[in-house]
Amino acid sequence: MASVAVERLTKRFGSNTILDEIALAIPEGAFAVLVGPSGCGKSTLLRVLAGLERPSSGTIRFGERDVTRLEPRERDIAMVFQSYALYPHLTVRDNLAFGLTLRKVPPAEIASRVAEASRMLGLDALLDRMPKALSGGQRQRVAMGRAIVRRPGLFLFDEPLSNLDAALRGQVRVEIRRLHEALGTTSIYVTHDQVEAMTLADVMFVLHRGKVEQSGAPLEIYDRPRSRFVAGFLGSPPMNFLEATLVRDGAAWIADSAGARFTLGAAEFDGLVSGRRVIVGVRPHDVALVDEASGQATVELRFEFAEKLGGETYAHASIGGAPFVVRLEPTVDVRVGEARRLAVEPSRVHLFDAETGLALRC
Amino acid sequence: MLRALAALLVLVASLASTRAASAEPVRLWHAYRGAEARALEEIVRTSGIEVELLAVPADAFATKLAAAIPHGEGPDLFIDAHERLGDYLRQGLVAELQVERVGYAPSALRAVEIEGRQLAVPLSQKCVALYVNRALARRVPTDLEDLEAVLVRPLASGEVLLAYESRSAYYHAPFLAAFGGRLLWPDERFGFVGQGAERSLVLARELQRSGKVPGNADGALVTQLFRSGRAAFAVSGPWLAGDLGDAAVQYAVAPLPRVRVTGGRMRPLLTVEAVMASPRGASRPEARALAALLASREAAATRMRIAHVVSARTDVELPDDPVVRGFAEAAREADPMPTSAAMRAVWEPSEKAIRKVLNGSAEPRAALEEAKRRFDDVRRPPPPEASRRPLLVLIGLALLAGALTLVRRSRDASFRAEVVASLPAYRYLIHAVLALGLLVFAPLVAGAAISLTAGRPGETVYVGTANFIDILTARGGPLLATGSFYLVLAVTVAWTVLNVGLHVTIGATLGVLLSRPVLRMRAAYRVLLIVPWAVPSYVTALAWRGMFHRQFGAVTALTTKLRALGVDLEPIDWFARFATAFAANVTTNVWLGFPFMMVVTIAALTSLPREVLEAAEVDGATRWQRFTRIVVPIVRPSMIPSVALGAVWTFNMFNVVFLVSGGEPDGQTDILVSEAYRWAFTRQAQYGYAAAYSVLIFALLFGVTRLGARFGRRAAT
Repeated sequence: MASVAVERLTKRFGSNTILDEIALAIPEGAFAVLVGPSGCGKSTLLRVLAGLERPSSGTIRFGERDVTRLEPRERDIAMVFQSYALYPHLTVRDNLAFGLTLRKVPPAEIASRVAEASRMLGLDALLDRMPKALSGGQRQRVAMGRAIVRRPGLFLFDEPLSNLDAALRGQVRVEIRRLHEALGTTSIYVTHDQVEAMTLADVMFVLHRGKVEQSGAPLEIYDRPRSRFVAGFLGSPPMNFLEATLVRDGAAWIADSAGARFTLGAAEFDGLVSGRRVIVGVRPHDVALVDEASGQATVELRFEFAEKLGGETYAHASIGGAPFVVRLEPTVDVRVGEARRLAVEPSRVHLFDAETGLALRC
Repeated sequence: MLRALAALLVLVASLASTRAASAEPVRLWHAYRGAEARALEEIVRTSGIEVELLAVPADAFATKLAAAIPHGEGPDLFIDAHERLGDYLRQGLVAELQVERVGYAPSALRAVEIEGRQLAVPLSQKCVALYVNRALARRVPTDLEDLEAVLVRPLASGEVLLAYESRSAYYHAPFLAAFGGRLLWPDERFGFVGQGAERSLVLARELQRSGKVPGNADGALVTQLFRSGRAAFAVSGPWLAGDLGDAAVQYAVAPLPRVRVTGGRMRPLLTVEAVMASPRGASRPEARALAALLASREAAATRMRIAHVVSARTDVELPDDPVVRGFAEAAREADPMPTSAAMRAVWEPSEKAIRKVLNGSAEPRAALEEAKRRFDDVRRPPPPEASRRPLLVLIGLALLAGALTLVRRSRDASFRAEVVASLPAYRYLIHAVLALGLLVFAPLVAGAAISLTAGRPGETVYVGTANFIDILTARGGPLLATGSFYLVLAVTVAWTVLNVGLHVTIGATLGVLLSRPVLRMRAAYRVLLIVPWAVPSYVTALAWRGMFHRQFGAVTALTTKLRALGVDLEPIDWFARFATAFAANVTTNVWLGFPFMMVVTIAALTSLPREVLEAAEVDGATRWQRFTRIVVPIVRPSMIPSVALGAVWTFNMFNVVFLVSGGEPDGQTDILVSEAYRWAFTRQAQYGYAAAYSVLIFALLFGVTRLGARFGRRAAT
């Protein structure tokens, strides 16, 4: 088991910079998730950590060891691939045992470790099958088992759930987290799925264009996104964004978006200057429909259509012509074309600079 | 459509009737080209007889005659070399053609006579003679031993005393004659054996060892040496004079000299070109008249004037051409080539013996005795005719069993229903079945049927399994003697294993290298490495044969270059020893074969996912372990069929063996297929025997591939 420290890691292919001065600090035993849209460099970063790619510059340390120049097999890691990469010519048992055989582990030891891993993953009945006779979920479990039997210091997961159907994905996600609780091995997990990232991560790194945009505990990032990109990437449905201008109204600060006025919690923001162009961000979950008479500061919106999911309803609406999604209780009756008023708690309003996209939060 | 067909029929019928009505022209076939063809046209034009002339390529002449004449087609008269008369007579292609026996050279008349019957009218005669380079020789020598004595000056390096095709039995025949020998005695005994023959070989070997005669000379080399003035003397025929037309060398032509130790003259083999008549032509008076006219004094004069050939007549005045005069004189001393069909069995064993003696791998006596054994082996009488009863019983039983199975299966209602249901499918299959049946199965069955017969074409008899028994018992000789089935099989197996091993090793290595993404210009290398595969294999084989030539080959040039750098390498006579000849064959075939394996490997490797290799890398596999434990096992199943295919191709790789080593030395590098070819086409047309070889090859390959497939399946499960 090892902590992971990455410093100023850069990877270029020709003139393309894929990874740009990446820094990671992952404590021992943590489950770290690298998340970002496709093309953000997360998979390349994982391959550099595995040793399958050489970094152009920077250092990688596993615990006290500098592994930057080491071969994959010298790094004491195990990796689960997106396509599972099972050895097609070997049985499940031999797939699991392959790495141990190479390391000349005594056969009795191999047998017991394979038995242990297959028990953990429910592979007992499949041990003598060939990979091509397995379902997608079973292959995925074999790929995990192959990593577990090695008892490495670090697990690397490269989008291991993306080839599974949605139902199975949720199930395996839970299984992965459970395994991590049981084994306690430091893990680095790459995904583009923010739900996976949120649910699995102890520490999360949001990557964007080869850089770490924000890192930290998932909820902290969710609540206090450092940029409009992070705010928009995490959360489903994504945060609503409206262009607005700051206005002072007595003691209060208001963000005015074409007549829709959002009251701000002034203490939470830096750089409130009257007339500044900003982006207002409001999550669909952070709003409530109110009656005209309630006296709260409200915003008018007009419904366009509703997605009724049963447990909740996402109403697609517009505010001053800009799209706006709100989460409603399933009992709320949404009529297309109807105008309603919306109350937003000032502390749940996010503000971003209109040019840089950085949060104004202090 | 129907009306058009009817009109065509009427047209054909009317044409046929008009043709039958008018007098048919005399049809005359010949193989002449150039001046000789012009001379013939001139003679025919002035004959006043209506003649239809047809020039047939020389190498197809005999087969075309054999295909046409028995069906009443083909020529009335044809002009060919006299030594084929024996064959033609046996096949009934010629009839007696009497002429007045006055005015002909006695040797020419003897040549066209078989068992007292005069079968053709001699026209011209050809034999080899001594070419004397006037720049190097003062006069025409009378004795072979005088050649050096008549030189103007000592020879410089690069010059030779006497150029002739020393490895050819045709050119060795004059030496043999000087020692009183013959290649074939009139009673069809093999003549190239015994003391005289041995002494003739010792003489030829001595000439070559002392450097007076160039080694391994073929016709092109003789021409080249004499044309460039680097040979003081040459032994060759009129064709050399044709090649000297525009050369600067001044020369004379004279009869071959005597050999002083015996006092005997070197008598060359004489070929008489004669006009022959098919049975139909012999019965037509106008054809006989044309034959007489072709052989007349006037025609002979025309022929000598236009084509400069030596007439078979002695009553024609020779032109004032020293070359024609020289050849005419030489022809007087020549022995007519035997007309017996046995003559065709003489060449191969004789030349093998000559080559072995000249390259020093055998003493004359042993080599000649072996040649005689080979001749007798080829000439051995065909096995006695066997009863057809066992075969008929076998076929009957097979048919019966087939019928029974059919009856039993047709009782099964579900089978009947299936047949009925699939009837429409047969409509779509029938053309493929017919084509395959006609192109693949019928020849296969015909070949198998031929293997049960023996005897020359036209007189084959059913002999049952006698051919197979002969082959498998090495015809009563030692089982591992040269040329025995088992020895050839061993060579073939070694050839196959070695070749396929090298194909796979080299092909797979290159394939692996070329699929590495790190390599720059992979596409260019791939194309370059596939080139040997794209060139027709016989072209490649001939190119390699040229490169391995002892004197002029690229390989020899390389050794010469290396010698200049201080590496001491003698030029190797590649085809003189088994190991080097075999190595030359293998080199050529490896060059031809590795691209296929390379392409197969590249294709197999593309099916190998990159992530699997990376998984192994993370799992702790070194580069070598990844190759042996991941790449090889995954790629192997898709390569095994290609390797099996390659093995079958190599087992039957006739082109390379036939064209590169040609079985040299002494037939030792022949494989089963080329051996079968020799039995069919160079050893008295023993088609049955050759077919039996083919059937054995088929059975071997069939059995081995079936076994291989079974083992492959077992290994896979």
